Amino acid sequence: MARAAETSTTYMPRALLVAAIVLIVARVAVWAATGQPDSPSQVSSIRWTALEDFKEKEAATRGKLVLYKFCAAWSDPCERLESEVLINHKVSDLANSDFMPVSVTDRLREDGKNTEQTADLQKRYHVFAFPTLVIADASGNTKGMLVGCSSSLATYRFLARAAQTNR
Amino acid sequence: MNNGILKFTLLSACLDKIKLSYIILLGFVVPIGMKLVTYMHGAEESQTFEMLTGKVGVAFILTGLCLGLAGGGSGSQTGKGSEYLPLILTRPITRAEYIITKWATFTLVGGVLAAVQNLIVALIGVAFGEVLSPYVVAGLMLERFLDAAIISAALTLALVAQHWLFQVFAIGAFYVWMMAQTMPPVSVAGPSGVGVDAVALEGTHLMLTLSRLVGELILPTISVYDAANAPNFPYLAIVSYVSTIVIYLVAAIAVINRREFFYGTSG
Repeated sequence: MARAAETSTTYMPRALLVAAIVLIVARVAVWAATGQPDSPSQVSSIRWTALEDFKEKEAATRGKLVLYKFCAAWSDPCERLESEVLINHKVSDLANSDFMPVSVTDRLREDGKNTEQTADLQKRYHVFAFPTLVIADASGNTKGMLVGCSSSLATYRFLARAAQTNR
Repeated sequence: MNNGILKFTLLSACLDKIKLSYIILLGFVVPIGMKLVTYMHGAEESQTFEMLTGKVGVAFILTGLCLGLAGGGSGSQTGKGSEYLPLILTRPITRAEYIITKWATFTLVGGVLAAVQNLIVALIGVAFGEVLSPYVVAGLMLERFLDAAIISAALTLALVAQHWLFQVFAIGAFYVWMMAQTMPPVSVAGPSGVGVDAVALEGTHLMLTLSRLVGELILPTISVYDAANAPNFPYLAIVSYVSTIVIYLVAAIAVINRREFFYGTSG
């Protein structure tokens, strides 16, 4: 009470004001230093198999679910998924241990058409946006679908839930 | 911090039946119901569920709690001048004490409610066989507290800065932020399109990008799990988060209406 009596009610704490200024400067500085697009070295350690090299029978014999990643080279969210989400070691460990990761790259915009295999898969799993992660069993039945670049935690939970049902 | 303001705000938030019903329905009944339904019917968790158990859920809870709390009174007291009662009974009090106490109380109440909601949802998941370590659950609960802190700071500023231009900006910014939460970042598949289709696609893309940028500017949040497992320390996310809270609080202290603060005097 004694302190308040000596202080104006309109008093603005200087420490807070200084902190605000310092933090604004720091935010701009950190953004300038680290907010640049991620370097290409930041890629996940998931061992993706290209669609053309993938054989469904292999997944069946290993008893694993197939994790399809539908992406396109021009898509920013796909880049973000790779550099911010799949780079998470818990996500990549789970993807490598419990799934057969298969990468499906859309070439419609670049080449005017996709390979027959890619087009069939996109049609089968109703892929309308990139990135889309689809989990399927060896027979091709959909076990889960995650559209968009979600957080690492959402992606991890999506994978963990499917893996749990397959065990 | 001022104990009197804290208690008044806490009581005002917790004793209003309409507010409580709103919070119980939107904060607990709907997301918990959605979680149970996804497991009972083997469905996938929707984006709406993600929103209600994430920062949007925190925003809904806080919006419900904060409405009518600017002066410290509940809805039933407003209009009779008794919203100034806490300020009279707690005088002398500085504007900084008042704003920081309000913010801390909103954060505490909103954070506790959202964290409890996340805990219940996680426990339901575990009961149905979902693998969630205590570390993940603790991370989720901490994340809700962090969300509550920044959203409370923004709401505190919106409650005290009563200029109509700021109010229009705040409402607009809130809706733009909400728009970015309705779906995670995506690109639409298919050819680039021509004519109207191309314009529509580019327009949607521009709108979503803009809303995400606005969101990162006005309400930058920290994803605890992502930050804890990121290969690089998330300096930018942390500095953005802390700086935004401090800026909102300083602005709220600076702009709080003198007339309101001095309980109705002409000063």
